[in-house]
Amino acid sequence: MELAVFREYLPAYARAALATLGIAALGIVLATAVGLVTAVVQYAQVPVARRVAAVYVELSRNTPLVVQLFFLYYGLPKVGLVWGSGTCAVVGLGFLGGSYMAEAFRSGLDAVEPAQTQSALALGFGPALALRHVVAPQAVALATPAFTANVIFLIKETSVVSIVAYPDLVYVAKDYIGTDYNTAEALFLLVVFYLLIVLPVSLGAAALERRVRRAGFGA
Amino acid sequence: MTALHLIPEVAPALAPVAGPVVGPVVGPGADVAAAVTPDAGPAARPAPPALSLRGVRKEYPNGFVALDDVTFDVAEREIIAILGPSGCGKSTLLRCVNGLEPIQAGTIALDGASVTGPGTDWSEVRQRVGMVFQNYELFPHLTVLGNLLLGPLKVQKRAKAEATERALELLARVGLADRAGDYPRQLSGGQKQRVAIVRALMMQPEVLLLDEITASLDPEMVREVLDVVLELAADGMTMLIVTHEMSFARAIADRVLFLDAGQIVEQATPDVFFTAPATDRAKQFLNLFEFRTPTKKTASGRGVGHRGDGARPERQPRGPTPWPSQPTPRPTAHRPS
Ligand SMILES: Nc1ncnc2c1ncn2[C@@H]1O[C@H](COP(=O)(O)OP(=O)(O)OP(=O)(O)O)[C@@H](O)[C@H]1O
Ligand SMILES: [Mg+2]
Repeated sequence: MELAVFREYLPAYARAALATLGIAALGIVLATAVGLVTAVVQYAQVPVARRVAAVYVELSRNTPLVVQLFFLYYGLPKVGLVWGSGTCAVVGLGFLGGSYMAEAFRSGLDAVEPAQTQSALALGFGPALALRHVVAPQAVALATPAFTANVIFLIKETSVVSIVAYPDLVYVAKDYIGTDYNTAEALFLLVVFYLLIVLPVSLGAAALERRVRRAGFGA
Repeated sequence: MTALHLIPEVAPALAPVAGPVVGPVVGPGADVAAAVTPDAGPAARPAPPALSLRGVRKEYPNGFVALDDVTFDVAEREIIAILGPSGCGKSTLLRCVNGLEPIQAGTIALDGASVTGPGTDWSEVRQRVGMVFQNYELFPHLTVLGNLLLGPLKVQKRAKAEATERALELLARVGLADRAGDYPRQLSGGQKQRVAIVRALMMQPEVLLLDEITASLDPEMVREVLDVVLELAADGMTMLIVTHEMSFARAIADRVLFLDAGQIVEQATPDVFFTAPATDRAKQFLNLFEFRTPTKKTASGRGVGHRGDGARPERQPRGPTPWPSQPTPRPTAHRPS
């Protein structure tokens, strides 16, 4: 491996890392929002919406992200909706991640003792107030490990967005391999940059989980 | 005991009644509603009962009838002990009163106003009817103070300063002034239950429902919780108390309701109920809390509990927690001669 090659590639990888982080962050935010709405709709058993939510979860979890991205990038223009590759990447991650997040939050909600709701109701809380002030805070704590696992999962899932021509790390690596044949250097940098992104997140997640566990919610 | 005023605004007595207002004394089968009505002129209309149940029927979705034609009144400041075997419907009864379980027939009225109509504001009813559970059900993510303030601030929209002052005052009265900042997991069972009682009181209820609030506690913690309830009683709180502490029930209650298989089988003053229960089922039930003196064997060097000769080991009788302030004469009828 040549040091000069690394020096040459570094700026492009750095830009691609930022681009990867950007769609990962937006995708995770979107997935979290979609997951929250889906979980609450299912938990509160909102009449029609919970059916829609159930269909969405099955559709999202049982199709690969690659297929979802193809659909967004090549399929939607057929009905007049043309999105850039960045938008497609974020929406794809949100669509996929939303169902994973929904399951995480739902398991958290289900893990809160029903007696907690009863005791809130007995104090005069309405169902929505009880959910917001009593059940949700405990559910969030209980869902934290599943949530952080999803965050890491979604960051890694960004590695397929190059198939819709989004210039992420994999895109840059493939580009250099295709043009310069510096396969070793290109792949080495790819690994290093993914570790640079994911490792801090993993460590942060572990710390967060420890804090939540120490708080001892639900105990 | 000096009045501790755990209840902020003790409602004025119904009428100029002399002496402590005690619940109506009725025998089994007596018409409670009639007994409640004091003999007063038209000018002093009798106050409606604080709580009134008429023909209440509770059928669970699986078809099980947990309450069948339950009718009784509770006067203001009256304390009712609800006794009965496990599964007879005691918890169900309390849960119906504050609407945690819908009822299928009958009416429930608070201060004479029905709360069983379709337009019932259950949030309002539940603020007026406080409930304390067997397993405390404190909110684990909030401190003691957070537990006490959540309802007043979020449901009743009271001022934080006022509610905090009240919370600290009540905590001091139950001996937990220094625990406001602790989380529930840092408290003992008895302390948790005292916090749960204060949390219910924070909503300024008119009636308090206590469902076996000492049943999960170690014996040495039972007393500290029951003392709080006794203080509430002294302050004039109207209460429905489900308990297996027979001596406590006898000490505190104005009236005992004995429930079996979802029906009120007997109601009487504690003295009558505990000494001369009218029904066989009540007698059988009370027998469960009696312990016959084991026939003493001749003194031998054996330790207690040593099993030999096929004889039963001698055991320390473990009855309900003793209630020393109120010696309970036990019925002698069931003792072996
Ligand atoms: N959700 C439910 N669905 C069906 N049956 C129920 C339900 N809840 C309670 N029951 C039944 O109703 C009956 C009364 O229950 P309840 O909890 O009121 O009894 P209890 O008198 O409080 O008993 P315990 O002393 O054991 O607390 C029991 O036989 C119980 O099995
Ligand atoms: Mg019960």
